[in-house]
Amino acid sequence: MDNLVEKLKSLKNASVHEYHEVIQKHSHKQVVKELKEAGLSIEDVPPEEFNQLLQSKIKENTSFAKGAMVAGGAILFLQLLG
Amino acid sequence: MAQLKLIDELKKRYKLWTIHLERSTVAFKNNILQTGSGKDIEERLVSFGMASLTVYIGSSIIGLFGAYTGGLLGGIVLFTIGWSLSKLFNKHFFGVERKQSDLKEDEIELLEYLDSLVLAHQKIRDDINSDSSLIFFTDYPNLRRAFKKALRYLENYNTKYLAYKYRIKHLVIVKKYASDVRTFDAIYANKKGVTHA
Repeated sequence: MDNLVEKLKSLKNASVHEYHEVIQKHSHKQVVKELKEAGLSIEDVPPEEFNQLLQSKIKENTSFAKGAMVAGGAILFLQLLG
Repeated sequence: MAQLKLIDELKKRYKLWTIHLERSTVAFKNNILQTGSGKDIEERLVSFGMASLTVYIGSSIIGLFGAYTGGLLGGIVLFTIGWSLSKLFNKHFFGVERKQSDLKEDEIELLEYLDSLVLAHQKIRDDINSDSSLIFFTDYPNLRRAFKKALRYLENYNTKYLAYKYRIKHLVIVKKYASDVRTFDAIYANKKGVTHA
């Protein structure tokens, strides 16, 4: 999580889309790691199941990142992500 | 052959299900600890909104009595009052982060119990992953009983320890956990007609 916040903070003049992209990539990596730990690969999981896992991770990471960025004083991020 | 294929499919579904169980347990832990309190955007917006509203209402009331209401100092005082009131409201509705050491004995017991269930299923998962031979789904009654106990604990959990926001979230988490248990039933006992969590 700290890693994600650092990545987001390092973005200068980034658009909302770019912020979302970083969160999405980070979430994707986390889900793949979870699957690996469970002894599964992406191919073992039905696409809709994988998507469900990914979307809930994105939601969790976005919420966490917003909080951490606002607490860190990154007001621009607050404005961008609403 | 069809039997082997079915067992292989059930093993994959079971392993996937363990991820849902881990996530539900973490969600419950975060909820009990009120993780993220004080950092949410909505809390800040509520604080600002309440403080502004106090300035507006306060100056309107004072204005009714014909007093001068446009002063900067008056505005600051009203805003400070509103801000303090919002902090009080936020404390009760959104709560503050709790430390592990602040938890009550029954809460610690519950968390430990839920963690022990996760560990038990991670062990089964590891056994499945490390042994390529057939693994039959055994010990179902005990595992099922353990989940029933967990659900009973969760349903009887005293939410008064939590701020209102987390009391509401608790209901959602328990519902998700119950859904995970139903999925476990479907996989482990290979019941028909029950879908994933």
